[in-house]
Amino acid sequence: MKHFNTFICIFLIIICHSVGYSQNISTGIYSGVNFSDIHGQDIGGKWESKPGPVQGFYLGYSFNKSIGIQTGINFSTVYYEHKTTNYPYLYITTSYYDINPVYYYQGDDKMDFSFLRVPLLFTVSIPSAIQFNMKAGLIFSFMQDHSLSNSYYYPSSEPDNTKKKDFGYMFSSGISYPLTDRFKTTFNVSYITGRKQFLENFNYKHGSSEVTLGFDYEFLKKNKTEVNSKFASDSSSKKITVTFIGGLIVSSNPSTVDGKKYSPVFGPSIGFSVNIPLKYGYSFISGVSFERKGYSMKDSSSLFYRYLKNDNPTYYIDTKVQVDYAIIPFLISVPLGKSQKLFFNTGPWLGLKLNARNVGVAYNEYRSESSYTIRKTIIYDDIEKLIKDNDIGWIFGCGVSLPVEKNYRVDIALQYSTGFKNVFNNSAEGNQQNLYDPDPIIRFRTISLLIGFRIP
Amino acid sequence: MKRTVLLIAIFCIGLACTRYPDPELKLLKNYSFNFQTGQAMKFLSGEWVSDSVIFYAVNSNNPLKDSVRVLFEVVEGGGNVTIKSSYTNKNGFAYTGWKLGSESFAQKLRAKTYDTSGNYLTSTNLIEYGFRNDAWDTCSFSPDGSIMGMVADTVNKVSFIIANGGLYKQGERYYIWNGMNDPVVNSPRTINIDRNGIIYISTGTGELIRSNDHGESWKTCTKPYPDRPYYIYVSISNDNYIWVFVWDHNTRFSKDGGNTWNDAGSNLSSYGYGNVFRLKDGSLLFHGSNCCSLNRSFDDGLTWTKIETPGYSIKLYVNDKDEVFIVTQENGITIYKSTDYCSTFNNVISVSPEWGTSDNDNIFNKWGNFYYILIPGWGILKSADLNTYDVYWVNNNLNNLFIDHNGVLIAKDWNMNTVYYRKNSAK
Repeated sequence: MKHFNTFICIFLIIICHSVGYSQNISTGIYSGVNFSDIHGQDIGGKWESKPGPVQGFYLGYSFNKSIGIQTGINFSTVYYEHKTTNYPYLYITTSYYDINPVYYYQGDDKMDFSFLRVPLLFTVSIPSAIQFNMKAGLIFSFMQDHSLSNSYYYPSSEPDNTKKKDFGYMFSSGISYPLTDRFKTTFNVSYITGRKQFLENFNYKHGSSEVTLGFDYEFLKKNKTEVNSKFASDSSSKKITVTFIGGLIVSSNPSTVDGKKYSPVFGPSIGFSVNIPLKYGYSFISGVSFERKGYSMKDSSSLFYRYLKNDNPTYYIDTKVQVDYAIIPFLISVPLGKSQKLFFNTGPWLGLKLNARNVGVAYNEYRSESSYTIRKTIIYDDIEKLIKDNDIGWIFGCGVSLPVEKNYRVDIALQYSTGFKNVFNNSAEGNQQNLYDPDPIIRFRTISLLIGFRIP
Repeated sequence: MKRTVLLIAIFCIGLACTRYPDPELKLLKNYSFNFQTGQAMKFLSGEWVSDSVIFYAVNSNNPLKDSVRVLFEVVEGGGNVTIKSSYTNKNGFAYTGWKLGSESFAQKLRAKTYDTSGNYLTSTNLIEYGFRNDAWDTCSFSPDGSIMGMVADTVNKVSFIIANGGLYKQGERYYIWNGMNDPVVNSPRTINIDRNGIIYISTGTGELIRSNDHGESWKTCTKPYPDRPYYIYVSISNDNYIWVFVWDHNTRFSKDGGNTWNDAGSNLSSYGYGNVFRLKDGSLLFHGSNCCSLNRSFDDGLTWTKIETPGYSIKLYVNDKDEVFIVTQENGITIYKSTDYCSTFNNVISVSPEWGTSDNDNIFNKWGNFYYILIPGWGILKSADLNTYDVYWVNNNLNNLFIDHNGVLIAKDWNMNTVYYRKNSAK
């Protein structure tokens, strides 16, 4: 409710500040595919990202050429399927004295849910030939139908009391291409995460990603000349640019506990940023990028996701911990030299965890008087519960911005980023205090090589 | 330029959309090992273990092709093997011969296995037992581990034990005990033998059965307490009288092998169950399981007169010379001797056991020219004349002692599942 009130306040402020600008109403329909992405899982196992249908209708209102709101109705069916692991998931008991892992098997699960959803979103558009937009806000879900294939969720004698209503967050970005003066075709990618546990006694929360194609029709649109004149008269807006960014990051976990056991891993970084010019050549940069951080391990351990060695069956593991974040930077960019080709930027960032997993292989050699086995375990474990939901940190970056054809520019940047928080959720392993197994610390640091394509 | 940017974007998206394999567990190597030759078999030390020792090894992932190298090694007992290194054949078998040594009772053969690349796989042990001469061999086998009673007929060369609620006859080797299935022998509880080799067994229902043919056949005697369906205590005196005792009846005795029964007088049963000896003067000497209960009868058991004893006497023994020995709880355990029909007693030996018991069945055991005196909680003394004693074996866990018709000592541990065999070499 607190989030909702904040949302309404911001909404009213935007309306008050937008009345003097061009406004229009747009509507559209879309259809596409959602890919399930369950959240809040108790650690272990792989939830397959299953495709499901999504269709919807939306109604948007823009206060000016860049900012608006959007709502609508969305019908979607989300399919969840857990893959049988056949290997024990390891987690640590809470016992003070016993640091031996407990082994836990999770079987097959299938669940599907049909929703009617109502989003309520802010929209930010970057006017250009191909319009780029970002949306963020709340989404309210009303479950229409569902099925649970696995009887262990509920004993047969008890009623199925799956939660019918949910609310969550929705982030979306996409492009639209004008077909006529009023018609556009749209392509959007959305990320939806529910906030309520939908099964009693389980931590599961709904989640999915959507890829949709649609058509947009604009009402009350002023003619093109009017729009362009408005656009031309707004000198500050003219210089706002969007940069599509992609690159590689090297992520490491120089943890103070067994830090040498962990090695860096490569991951992608992809996103966009909005560059808002300030005075004296400075600019403020924000946006969203998807980043995969993590670390790798090649060692003997009783756990797959971190180093723990004891007397129990020990695995030789070759695994990676991967944590997907939506990174929102808040940077100040400073030009270096008069040419403004070189720049330095720095500022904080906020990271929102999207997923966390442990992947790789583990080998276990077991020897007894009557047997000798070598087992290879192909690991895919959801470890969302072990990683905190968000992270904050600071970025230092520098780069060069090269003009290319027309008004486009290519930015090549090198960034160093460090997280401030220990993102490992110790409570997920219990409150053990053991000198031989001190609480782990995971604090990501990354070095990124990024290439940006700046669109005026 | 746009194409370059597009390619970079596609590359990054591709990285982000990595497809991971499903979780899976694969057995890359899966070997099983075992000895086909039975474990924990009993042999005499120095014997061969069966015709040959058979070892089986197979990799279930590749059972037909994957041969295993096997190194056989004796690691306990001091024996030796005929083949020290071998490979499993196409059926997974490897063979060797194993001759037991005599360094220990439990003897261990180890098969160390290696794959075809020479990588060590595991070690598998085969444990067999070799009974040795002149050494105590600790056994926790069945039925002898829970032996309750034994008789040994040295004339007819048979020994029987009661164990696990059954009757067993010693087999061709002293450690082999074969169950006897006779419908008359039902729930045997005690076993005794008289000087004529007649064996008596009492049952859980208070019956007394006897065998006149060394255990070949059994027949029921007259029931000593016809109205009592519970177990009884039995002892046989050196004049072949049978004495029976229960807590709530008179002590009774039979002069004719269990056909007729007589009540012992003087409330003898108040002293508990015990032993009776016929002295050369015709009198009877009795000591019960209760303290200080030495009694003598001059009228063939009808009346009894109590005799004072030194210390706290608990056990009576009379040898062939009519020398009377009483075991007392003075200073631990002290044995007194009387050569004047209990008028005076002389201390002959004292020992300090770890613990005491009221169950003092077989303190005095004679084999050949020697007595083996079992002191529960202490160990075994050896004596030729019961005047001087040698320490034979100190073992605080001992609770009872039996000697079979071959002279093999079988000492029983207090834990009720372990016995110690000792076969002495003929000298």
